[in-house]
Amino acid sequence: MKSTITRTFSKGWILLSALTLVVILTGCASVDPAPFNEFTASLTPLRDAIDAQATEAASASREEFIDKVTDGEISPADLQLEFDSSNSFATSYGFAEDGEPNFVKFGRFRLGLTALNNAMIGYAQTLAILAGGDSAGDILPSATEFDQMARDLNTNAGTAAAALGVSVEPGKQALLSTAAIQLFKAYIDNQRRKELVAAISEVQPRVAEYASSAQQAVRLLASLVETDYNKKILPLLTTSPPNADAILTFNEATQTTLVTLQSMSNGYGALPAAHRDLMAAADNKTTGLAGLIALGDEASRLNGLVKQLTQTNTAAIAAAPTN
Amino acid sequence: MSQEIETKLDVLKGMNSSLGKITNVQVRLTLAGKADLAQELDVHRKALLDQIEKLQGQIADQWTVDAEVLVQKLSEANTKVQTRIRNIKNKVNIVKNATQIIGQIDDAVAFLKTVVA
Repeated sequence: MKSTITRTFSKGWILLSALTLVVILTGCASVDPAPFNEFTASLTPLRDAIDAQATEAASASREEFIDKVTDGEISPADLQLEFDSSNSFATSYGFAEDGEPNFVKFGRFRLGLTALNNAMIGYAQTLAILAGGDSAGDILPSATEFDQMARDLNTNAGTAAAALGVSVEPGKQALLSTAAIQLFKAYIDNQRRKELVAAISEVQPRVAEYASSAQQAVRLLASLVETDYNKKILPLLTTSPPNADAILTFNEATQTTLVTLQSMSNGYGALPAAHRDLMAAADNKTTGLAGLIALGDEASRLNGLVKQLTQTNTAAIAAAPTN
Repeated sequence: MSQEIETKLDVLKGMNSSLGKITNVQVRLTLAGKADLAQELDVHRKALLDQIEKLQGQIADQWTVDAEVLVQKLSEANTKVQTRIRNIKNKVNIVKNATQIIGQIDDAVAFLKTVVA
C-alpha cells in the first residue's frame, strides 16, 4: 500500500515536472492590463466632451424658450405643468399647443447620453479589472502570494503525507509543491485570457451599436449648432454699421465647435476597432493594435480641442454685441 | 443603430442647408434695402425653422428611447464580466483553501482512526 502511494507520488512528480517544463517553454506571461486601462481612459474625455455639448444645447434651448415667452411668441399658458392622472409623480407640458418644449426633450437626451456613456465606461472598467488593471490590485494572486501558496502547500503536504504514512523525500516534496502552484498559475492566467477573449467577442456587437448610436447623437448636436448659427448670424450680418469682428469671432466659435464634434464622432468611430484590439492585447500582442492607437490619439486631440473651444467661446461671448 | 434616426438626420441636414441659403438671400435683400421682400422671406424662413426644431425634438426623443435599450444591454454585458471575475476568484480561493486543507489531513486521519477503532 505504502509503496503504491510512493510510486503514484513519483509518477505525479514526473508528470508535474514535465508539465512545468511545457509551461516554461510555451510561456505563461500574465495579461498586460495597460491596453485595457488605456481603452477605459480614452472613454472619459469622450463622455465629458459630449456631455458639455449636450448640456450647452439643452441650456441654449431653454434660454431661447424663455426669450420666446418674453417676446410673446409663446403663451405663458403653455408653461403650466399637467399632472399625470394615473401617476402621482409624473408631469408633462401637456397643455402646450405644440407639445413638449424642445428644452425638455434635450434635457432628457443629455441624461440618456450620460447614462449610455457611463454604461460603456462601467463595462470597460470591469473588463480592465478582469485583465488585472484594477487600482486596488489584480484579481489573481501576486508572485509573492503564489510563492507563499507553494510554501504552504509544501508544509501542509508534508503533514498530510506523514499522516497517510507516505514517504516523500523533502527535496522532491518542495519541487512537487512549486510545480503544482506554477501549473495552477499558468492555468489561471490562461483561464483569464480565455475569459477576456470570450467577453470581448460577445460584447463586440454591442460596442459597435454604442459607437453608431453615439455618433448619431453627435450628428444631432452638430445640427443644433448649424441651426443656431443660422438663427444668430442674420442679425449680425444685417447690423449697420457692419461689425466684422463680431461676425468672424462667431464664425470661429462655430467652426471650433464643429471641429470638436467631428473629433468626438471620430473617437466614437474608432471604438469598435479599439475594442476588437483588446482581444489581441489579451494575448499580449503589443504590435498591430492600430485601433487602440487611433482611439488614444483621437482622445488626446479631443482634449486639446475642448481647451481651444473654451477659449474661443470666451472670446465670442466677449465680442458679442450687447443689445 | 436606428436606420430611421439616420434617415431623419439626413433630412435634417438638408433642411439646415436650405435654412442657410434662405438666410443668405434674406441678408442680401435686407442689405439691398428690399425690406418688404426680406420680411416676406422671413415668414418662410421661420416656418422652416419651426419644422427643423420639431424634427430635432423628435430625433432627440427617439434617440433617448433607443439609448435606454442599449444602456440595458451594456449593463448586462458588465454583469456577465463581473461573473467571469467572480468565477476566476473562486478558482483561486479553492486552490488557496486546498493548500491549507491538505494540512488538516492529519486531524482527519486521527478522527477516522477513532471512528474505526
